[in-house]
Amino acid sequence: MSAAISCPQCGSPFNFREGTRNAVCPSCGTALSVHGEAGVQRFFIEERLDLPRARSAARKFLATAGVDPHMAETLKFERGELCFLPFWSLRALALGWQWLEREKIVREEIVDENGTKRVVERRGTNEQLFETLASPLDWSSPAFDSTAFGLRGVAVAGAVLPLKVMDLAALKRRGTVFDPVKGADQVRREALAAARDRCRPAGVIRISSTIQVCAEKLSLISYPVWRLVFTSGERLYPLVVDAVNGRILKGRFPGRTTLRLFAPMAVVLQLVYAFSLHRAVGALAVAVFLVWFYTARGLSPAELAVFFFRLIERGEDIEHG
Amino acid sequence: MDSPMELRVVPLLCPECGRTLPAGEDDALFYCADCAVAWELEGTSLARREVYHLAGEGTLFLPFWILPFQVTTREGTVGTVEDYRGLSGAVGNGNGPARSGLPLLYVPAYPYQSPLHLIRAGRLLTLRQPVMTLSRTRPSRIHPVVFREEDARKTGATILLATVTEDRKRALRFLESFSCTFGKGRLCTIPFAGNGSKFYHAALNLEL
Repeated sequence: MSAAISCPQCGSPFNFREGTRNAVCPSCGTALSVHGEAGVQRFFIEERLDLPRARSAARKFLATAGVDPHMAETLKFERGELCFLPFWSLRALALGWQWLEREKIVREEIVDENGTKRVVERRGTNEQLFETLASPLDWSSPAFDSTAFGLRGVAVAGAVLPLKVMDLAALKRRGTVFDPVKGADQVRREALAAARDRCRPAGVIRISSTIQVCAEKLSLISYPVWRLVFTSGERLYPLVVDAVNGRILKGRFPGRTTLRLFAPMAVVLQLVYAFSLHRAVGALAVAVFLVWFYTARGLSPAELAVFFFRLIERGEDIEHG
Repeated sequence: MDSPMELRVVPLLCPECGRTLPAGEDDALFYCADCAVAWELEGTSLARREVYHLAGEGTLFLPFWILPFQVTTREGTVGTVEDYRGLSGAVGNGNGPARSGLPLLYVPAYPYQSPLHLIRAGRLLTLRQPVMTLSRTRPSRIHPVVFREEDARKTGATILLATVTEDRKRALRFLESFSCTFGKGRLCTIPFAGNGSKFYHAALNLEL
């Protein structure tokens, strides 16, 4: 991952690798230290899709996502907003130790009275081990509430896409820049928990460990997404489109509408038939229907009206991501 | 997070002679060969950092953070070299510092080949507790320094535990009671002979 930056000595642009501290300007040869506030370098990834292309990606998705084609046509585009979502990227060294106790299985060869050899496994005394932990740490984690956007990781994307140095004022003119809600301490804790899990061997009864993060390089990378809103009638349908590759990350679409003729017609016909046999049978059929209706939908005049007169039923909204 | 974090670019020019300081991608300290002074970035300005060059044979000057330490365990406090030798089980070579002096922790500050190499190098030097004199000459070039003092402090407990005998470390109660405190660190360079990936120190009988 490299980011373009300008040399303060000669003004020429040059590339700077994320996760490093220094660079040398290729034009004037001056060594430069690049650092962010509180030791955090902040970058962003530029969007590759403009609003019309994001809308077109959304429409393409609607055509293939199982949305009723008629409903898809009625969806009206309301608005679109470019959002930059922050991700933490932590590179460091995880150092520490772990103490573990595990079961020891002892294999013994036994010779029975017939002279047959058998291998018997039995539990031996538990063994205690000490291990020094030392491994590089490369951790990426969303710095915002990712559930609303469906974007969970940026590590892979950030590794291949060019980064740009954050110019907050300029970026805010283009879209909404989300500030991180998760602090650096929490990212360290998450990274340490992941490192701890990685080092945990199987078959351990008891474990105790202490790990520290050192020589850390922390950066905050803002990733672009389009937040589109479609409407159908009075309902709003939000959609999140990855502004780099056009993938639909999260969205809600209207479900299929169905024409319900059979169920109310069948009930009416059965009641008529029951009454044609005998009034008592008819009354019993009505009672059975009402009991079934009460348990299925709850007995209310509104529900009864919906059952008998609303013949077009809208399916539940489809959630994606 | 309240304020926007933007990148600051600081030119690394020696505050004494004005020449550009050699800087690798991960260097934490910058050594001006002409002035023989090391500089460390503090905020947006360069601050002078004292570097002690130790005498010895070799042309590769490897930087180490040397920190005096005290260890507390359930068995008591380890505050002298002699106590430390008892804790680590290391045999003194008669070349150690005064027995009443604080033991010293050595943490490599140069780019490590692997995290375990870092622990191993620190462990071997700490176990030896060598006494070395200052060099009368200044090296023209020292190995890059990528570890800051705060990183060395964070690494300290792991290196110290690596020097303790295995029997002790198998007892959880010992580990839970183990804590260490460090004094002010000094950056020293130790001359090694070597070919880039292996470093040798004949007087210490050491290969890193």
